[in-house]
Amino acid sequence: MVEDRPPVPAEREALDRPWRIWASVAVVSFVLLAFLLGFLVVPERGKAGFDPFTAMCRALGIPGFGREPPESPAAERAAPASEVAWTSDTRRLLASADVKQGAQVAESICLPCHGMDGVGTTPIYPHLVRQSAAAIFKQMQDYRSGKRQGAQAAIMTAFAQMLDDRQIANVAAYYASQRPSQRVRPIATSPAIVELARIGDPARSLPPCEACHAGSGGPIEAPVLLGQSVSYLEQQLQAFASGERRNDIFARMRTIAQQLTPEEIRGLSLYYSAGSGTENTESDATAAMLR
Amino acid sequence: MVERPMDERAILRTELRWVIVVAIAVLIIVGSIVISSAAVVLHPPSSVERIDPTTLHVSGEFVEDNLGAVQNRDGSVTVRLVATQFAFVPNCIVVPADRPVTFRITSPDVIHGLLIVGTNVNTMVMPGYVSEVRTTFPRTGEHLMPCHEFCGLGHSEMWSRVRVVEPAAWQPDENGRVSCETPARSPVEEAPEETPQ
Repeated sequence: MVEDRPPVPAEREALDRPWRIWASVAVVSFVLLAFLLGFLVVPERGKAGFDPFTAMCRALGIPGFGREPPESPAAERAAPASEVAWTSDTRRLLASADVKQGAQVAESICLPCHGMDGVGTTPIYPHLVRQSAAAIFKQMQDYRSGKRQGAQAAIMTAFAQMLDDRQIANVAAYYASQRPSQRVRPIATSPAIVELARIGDPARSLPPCEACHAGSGGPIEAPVLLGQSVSYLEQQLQAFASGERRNDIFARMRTIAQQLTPEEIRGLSLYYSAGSGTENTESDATAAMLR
Repeated sequence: MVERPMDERAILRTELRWVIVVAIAVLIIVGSIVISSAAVVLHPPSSVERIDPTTLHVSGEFVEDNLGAVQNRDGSVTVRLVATQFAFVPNCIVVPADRPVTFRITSPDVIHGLLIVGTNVNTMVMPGYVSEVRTTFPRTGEHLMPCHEFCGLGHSEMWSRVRVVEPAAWQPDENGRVSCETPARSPVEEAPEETPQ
């Protein structure tokens, strides 16, 4: 507290005064110099035509002073890979989905192929159990808009077009709420496949499948692979590789699938198909080795 | 032992010495910033630009079809990139040597990094912002372009290539674009018989 301190003698104050003045001058000129340097000199380098005020506003990000976005003719006629955008509206729609109403949709439309428990009735129909609502929602939207092509897409497009946004969100929430009856483990056919799935291949810039498809990390729409049907996985990887299926945003999966050999596609599909719950000691051993 | 109060002038002298030490330290730091920004042309982004990261792929300049190297109407070269988990899109870029190139890059998901090895192109890529870097490649050759901000489990597999070709070998198609898939002859063998335009 100021009151607690003894009064400063007058001669000491006189001694301190020039110091205070010079210290203030030094600090103020330092701040000014840094301001001019950071907001004027450096931002203006190599860019003629900005007055100092505009240069400062641009560097600070004040709206209205930024450059007009550059012309991009291709942007206007672009066909996006998917029209699904994870805006707050989309997320709110998914968060407010009604599982009971979703169950009714599932019973009247999805049941014959995907079952009420989300287990595909034949190997070519994907299992919906273990998938997130976001993953199912994205694919249903893409079927409906015709963005997802290849394999059984024609059948699914017809069904998806019978539903509106809310019904799709509801049915996605319903299947996401189903719990799998069995714990599954991956099937390791070779250490190379396990490595590809868990570590990836930096030399080919192939990220590990686990980075996105294990339910943690990566894009929100990435499906869980473990426990999916082997023929479905193989078919979809081939469709990505051939470009028949192209609803992956920013070609994430097309780029990866094109680099995989047919043996790797086969091996990875088998790895994640998990052999319907059979305990696989070999895979445990390989996994332990890699861990 | 009796403690004698210190002489006021001795305190001031000590203070002065420390002020000089601190001032030298500050001058060295500021000086290195000035030298690096002026001489080595390393400087902070000169313009803050915002963009909605959730709709990048649906509309605007970062839609999939609009990514890669393009020749603008005024003849300048712009490279548009998206850094996403876990790839740069596109994953190979061709640019001409000795011509100013502007990189514009953004991210739909998490923070990534743009670094072109062997050049001073180095910036952070943040969702919600467009990072812009201008450069000129003086030599032809291929540069590695890894992500240098940890972005997730696939971070170490996230890299791309920048191929710098002779200006004459950089021939845009009817849309003004040049991609790695465009059959580009190596500058050495195409140089003699190439007739521009």
